[in-house]
Amino acid sequence: MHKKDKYLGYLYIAPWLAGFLILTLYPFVVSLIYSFTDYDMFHISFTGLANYKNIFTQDKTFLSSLLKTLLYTGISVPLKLCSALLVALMLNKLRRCRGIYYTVFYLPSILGSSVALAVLWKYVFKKDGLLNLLLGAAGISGPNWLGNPDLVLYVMMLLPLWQMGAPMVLFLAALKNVPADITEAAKIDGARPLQVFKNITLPMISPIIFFNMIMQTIEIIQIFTPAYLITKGGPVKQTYLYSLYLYDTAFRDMKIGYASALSWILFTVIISFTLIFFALSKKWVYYGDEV
Amino acid sequence: MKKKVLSMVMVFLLTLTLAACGEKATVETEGEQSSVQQESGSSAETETDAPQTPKGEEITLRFSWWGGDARHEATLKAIDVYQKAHPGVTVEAEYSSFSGYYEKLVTQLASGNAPDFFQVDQGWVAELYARGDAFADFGSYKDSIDLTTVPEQMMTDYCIMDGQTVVLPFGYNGTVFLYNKSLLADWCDENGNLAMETWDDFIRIGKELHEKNPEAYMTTSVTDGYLRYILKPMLEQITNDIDVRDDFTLGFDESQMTQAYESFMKIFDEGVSQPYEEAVLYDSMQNNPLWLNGNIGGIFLFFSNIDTEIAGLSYDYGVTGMPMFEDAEISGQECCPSLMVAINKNVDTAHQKASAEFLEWFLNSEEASLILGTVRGVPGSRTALNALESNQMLSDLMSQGVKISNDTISLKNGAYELNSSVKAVFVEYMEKVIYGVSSPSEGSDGMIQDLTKVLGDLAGSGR
Repeated sequence: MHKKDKYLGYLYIAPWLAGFLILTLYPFVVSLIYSFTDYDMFHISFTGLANYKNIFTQDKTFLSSLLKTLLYTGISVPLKLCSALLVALMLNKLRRCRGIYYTVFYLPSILGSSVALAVLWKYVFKKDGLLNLLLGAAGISGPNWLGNPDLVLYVMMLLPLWQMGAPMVLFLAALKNVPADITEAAKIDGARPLQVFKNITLPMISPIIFFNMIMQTIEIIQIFTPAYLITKGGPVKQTYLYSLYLYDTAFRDMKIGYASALSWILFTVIISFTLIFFALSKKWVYYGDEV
Repeated sequence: MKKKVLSMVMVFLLTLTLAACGEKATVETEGEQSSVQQESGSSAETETDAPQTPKGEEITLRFSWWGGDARHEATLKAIDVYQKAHPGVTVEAEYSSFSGYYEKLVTQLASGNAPDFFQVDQGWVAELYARGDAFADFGSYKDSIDLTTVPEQMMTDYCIMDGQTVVLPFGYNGTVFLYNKSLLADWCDENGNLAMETWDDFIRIGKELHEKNPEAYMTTSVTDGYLRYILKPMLEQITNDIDVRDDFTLGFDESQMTQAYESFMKIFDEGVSQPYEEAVLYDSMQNNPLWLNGNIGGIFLFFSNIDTEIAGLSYDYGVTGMPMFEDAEISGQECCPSLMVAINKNVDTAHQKASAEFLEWFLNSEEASLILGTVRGVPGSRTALNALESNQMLSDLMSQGVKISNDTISLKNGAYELNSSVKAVFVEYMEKVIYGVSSPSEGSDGMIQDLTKVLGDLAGSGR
């Protein structure tokens, strides 16, 4: 390779690299340092492992918010992936107006996890909100979705489902790549549609399922906006998810050092899940080159 | 092996990038949506190390506040008038809703990028002052701003710390009960005065009202309101003391808190209040259909908010004071400055002086008072209040509210009573008791433990 071309490559990635170094790596490293201090935005002194010790031995909110977040993630991610796959399967069968349906299903994902959407959901699920209005029209008296402590976390789990556009598109691409000759051969051999799906389609798209699972887990475990804007963590802290606790600790209580330690624990949890998924993937993810 | 190491590094980088970027965009989006900078200008001008602006030259000041549309519009209009009268001065307006304002201000103060002068809540003053880097002393600018227009007691209780005037009140407030005369006609005399002096009266009327009309409730509120206007006044009436003393100790014990919770729970158990889980889903009374439809007997509120809460409603309203327990000596109402203003300690003296000159006009002049009206509550400055009164700009209900509140015996707010961490503990246990997760005695026990820890942290961190 020409020496000039080599440097040209670096030039191309320079914008990304600068962003990564300044906006990701630098805060990442600094937060690690802060996690060993009592930094409160104005003063700082090193406290060693005190923050971590307090988190694991004295902090009741840490454990409850972490468990709620894991429950939220554990239910939301499979739900989102299943619904994305289901929609992708339906779209894959479409013969007409594909573009319109693709756009309609992908559209909510473009909106991101915006403030306006969170407020919209609040108005849908309120006691006198849109959902209960529709249920009322059908003669059903709807519950207080957001005011009932036993119900509210499960209601919040439904919110990410609406934005399943990104995993859906990936599933759709994967489904298109499932070789038609294999499925047709199976059908000729007498396989039922469910058997084809289970024994051929699923293994063939398993790398995409795996990828989506990791991406969605990382995204949903850090979810913040709905809890912050719709319920403010309530009622009775039932939706006090980890990111909200982290935010309150940093910006309400001004314990930046402590919040940094909390964020590092969250990072450790995320990377642990990622590694576990990678380890388990050998048992169920099928890559074409393994035959 | 090399492949394995490479894949591990890739996993790490992927997780790092996604974990670091996950929700950041969302928070920024909210900030962008809620905060508007009216005019562009370099913030570097206001930093400590910026050269001092010689007199007569142009100067740019940054002013931040939170509020609703009415406050934004009136303030922008006042700024415009001031700028026209002072051609060398540009005031950049940085305004937003209350949500996220405190977090942004603290971050700005920590990073040395706070505005030249900014609105603060009374509950934040002690904490920000203790950090030592936030507030300039208004006393250093006595030539530019008249400090004698604020009542002396208010200055002593809320504005002066260690001999320095660190904040000034925009307005002041007190808690009153605003009631719907039409709905509560059966319990009012021929002049429309509600016959309610004690909590027993309040609960009796509420019960009778709800029995008569199951759709109607005596009162409702938002989470903050249930705490500040009902539970805490009940507690103060029981203890005759403030809840959180300035020496970081509590003004109540477990049995007193339990008693307060038991009294508080009656308003839900007896059908006096709209059920909590329904009421708190509305951000304000103006969104609550029961209030809008005239099915709420009345609400506890700051007298400054009376006109806002009845805007667009055609019912006949009256105002009365806080109900009290039979043997209570104080009302427990919050009677304190509603919103305050501080000058940034970390800007140069030219900007501090120019800020003080602007605030002299903004707080004390008749011209500004008539533009601003009561968008920041009933003015704390006597001259501004006189200007409003002589121009009949205080509504009858608001004037009655001011009188009722002034005639009521109350204690000053503790410096840490409205601290956000302290308040979060109060809210957490109040909700636990309301939802039956904890009994009143369990709630008070847990609350005292957690409050003691929070106050210990606050005291220990030198705040």
